[in-house]
Amino acid sequence: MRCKALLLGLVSLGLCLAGGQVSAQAASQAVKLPTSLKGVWYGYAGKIRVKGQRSYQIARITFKGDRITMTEYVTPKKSLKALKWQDSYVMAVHYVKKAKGVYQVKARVLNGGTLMTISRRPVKVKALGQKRSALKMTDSGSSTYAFRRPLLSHVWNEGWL
Amino acid sequence: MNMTYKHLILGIASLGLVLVGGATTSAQAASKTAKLPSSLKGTWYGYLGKDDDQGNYYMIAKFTVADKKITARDYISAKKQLTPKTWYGTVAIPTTYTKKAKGVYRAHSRISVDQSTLWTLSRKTVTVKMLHQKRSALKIHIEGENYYAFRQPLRSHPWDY
Repeated sequence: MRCKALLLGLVSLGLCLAGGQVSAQAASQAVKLPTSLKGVWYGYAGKIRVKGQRSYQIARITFKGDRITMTEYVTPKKSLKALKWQDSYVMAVHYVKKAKGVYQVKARVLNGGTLMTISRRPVKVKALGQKRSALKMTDSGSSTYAFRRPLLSHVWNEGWL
Repeated sequence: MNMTYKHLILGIASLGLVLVGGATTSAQAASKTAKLPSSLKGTWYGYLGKDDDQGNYYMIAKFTVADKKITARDYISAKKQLTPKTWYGTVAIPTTYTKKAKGVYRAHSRISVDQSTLWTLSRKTVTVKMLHQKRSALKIHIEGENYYAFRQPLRSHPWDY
């Protein structure tokens, strides 16, 4: 299985395509994501400085039955309101259960390799002074987190953008 | 040829597009904003090439060109006729166009303060060998290279992957 880094947002999903026919076996392993993992999540993708103005990048990932959508936004507001749309990526996927509460997100076409593994995990959110249950996304040994609403916490490192 | 997800975003990533995040567009560029003529807008199909590595797959990108947004949907097909095809991903980015010359328009990122040209669009008549005729194509010029797309999926003028 060979992987090439992408220029755009999908690099963050560590894409790897094994290539080959859509395997009937893989397709039959596909399951539905539980509601605890499905739906919309927001990741804080970091700060960027634009003409002296500090802006925050937010990645919004939506896990649907047969696809994931990642949309990137920027905003100069610390409240993370007034998000301005930057770009969107949608990919055809299916899910395979790896363990209790742990699912692999795989490309649905061409017997695709695993894009990432997802699960829930409580993490400490400093800005809120409390623990929050986050979506943990793991790929190639590195993990990152996303929340049910935009939070300035757990900034994604380079590998995820 | 290595079938990787680089091919996924063919319409955009293959064009070597790296988006610079930003919250504002420059007022100068906004004042020169042009509306695309209907001869350039709408649906276009680019033939990305054939993957010989793992079975034969023809790769197609369907572009929807609009004034404010471009959408690239990627498909693969096992058939020479490029149908039926299977969708595997989509990329959408906000754009703004300025007129460079008669029938020639430059695309700029709608959210970046970097006003450099992403690509240039125009029409060009090309010879489609398999049809033994000339066809008017969408010519996409980017970083010194020309890529062609047609109003119907055609196995012609591969984007060379």
